[in-house]
Amino acid sequence: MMSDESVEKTSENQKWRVVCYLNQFFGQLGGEEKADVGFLVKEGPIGPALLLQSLLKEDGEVVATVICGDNYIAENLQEAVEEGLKIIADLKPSLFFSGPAFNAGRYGIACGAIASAVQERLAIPAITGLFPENPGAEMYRKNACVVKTGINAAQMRQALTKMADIGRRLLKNEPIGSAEEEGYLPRGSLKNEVVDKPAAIRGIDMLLDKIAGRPFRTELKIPEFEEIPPAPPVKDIKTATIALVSDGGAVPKGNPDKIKVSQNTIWAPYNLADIFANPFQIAHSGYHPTEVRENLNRLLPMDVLKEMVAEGVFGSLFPIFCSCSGNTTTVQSCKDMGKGIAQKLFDEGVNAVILTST
Amino acid sequence: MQIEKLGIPTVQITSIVDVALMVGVSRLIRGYTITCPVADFHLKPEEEKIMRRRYMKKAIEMLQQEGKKGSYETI
Repeated sequence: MMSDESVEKTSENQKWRVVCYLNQFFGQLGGEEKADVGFLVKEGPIGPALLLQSLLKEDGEVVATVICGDNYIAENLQEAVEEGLKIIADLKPSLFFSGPAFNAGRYGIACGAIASAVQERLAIPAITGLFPENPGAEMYRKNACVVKTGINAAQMRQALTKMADIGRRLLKNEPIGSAEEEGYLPRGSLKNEVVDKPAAIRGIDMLLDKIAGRPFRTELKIPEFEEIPPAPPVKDIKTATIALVSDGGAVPKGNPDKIKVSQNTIWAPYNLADIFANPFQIAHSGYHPTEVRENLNRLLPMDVLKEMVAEGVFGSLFPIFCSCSGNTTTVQSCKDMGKGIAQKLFDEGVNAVILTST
Repeated sequence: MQIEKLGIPTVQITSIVDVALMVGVSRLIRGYTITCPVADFHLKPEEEKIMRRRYMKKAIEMLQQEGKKGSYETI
């Protein structure tokens, strides 16, 4: 069983109360311009919750959809989750769904954080759906049920079908199988199973398969983030060259290197002075770029850094900045772009980097 | 992280600190907002610039210190 919490059964004619959480976009309030919107509650199912309702059929009634802007939550996670939790508690659901958020980073963190809080603090079964590389997936997979989804909303139906199925079974206290069987992310708990072969033999068999190049399945998955020790501090700041790097997507007008607004794989070096002096655009669809468009120093603080060089605070500002966009980017793409940027800066003798992220 | 791997100390400024902490960033400043990481755009231009300078001053300080995983600075 995934959850030890038992859900009180109501009468056979009564549907389970279900509450859903969506962001401003799926909640049909708007795009990035509405990402700062605070919590609001709409009666009944909105957006994807309508499909969820049809999948739950007679087993559940989506009584409310809780909607909140991605920035509102992401910029103040703890307080915002507390606020959302209180709203959800007052709605008295028996089952809670958030998202699915696929690979959207802020939304995924919000979905995971709220689902975890609902599961752990209200003891209400909570399910969300995230692409395995979504940062929210690793952060919250142990605290709530995180169904594995595809990378974007093209797979909405598949994601919601899985989420609804698990949700229904949790409500009815039916057993839920392993993460691999059921399609959710491992919760980090080990369940003892009796198998024929002892561990020593299974281990040797696995090793022989690995050596022979045959497929094998690990029984224990090791976390994937590479452990990189911090680089040593700058020795002499007065002579150091500092470079700016940003994933906010600032590019010359026309986007000559075709940096993608989402799921990006490309980085490019641009002259800092030129990007300030000439028309530019923001190749990033994951944040509202109005403020940065008004004043690019808000993303690339060149004005104050130049002053600090003139005052002798540090040696020099590298004339090139490295640009990319970080919106639903895969971990592998981040690594690849990072390696490319790192090598460029290393070859140019840069001593330190300031990286601004939106 | 890849830049740090080549020995170049890097300060990241982002308002979504949880992701940076999870990945293992060791020089981290909490950005002001998602859309405006190094300034409060509601301020008057001169005051906003002073705020940007505070972020850069802190970043330059951190570049001269040992990296500390699991923590971040707030301006």
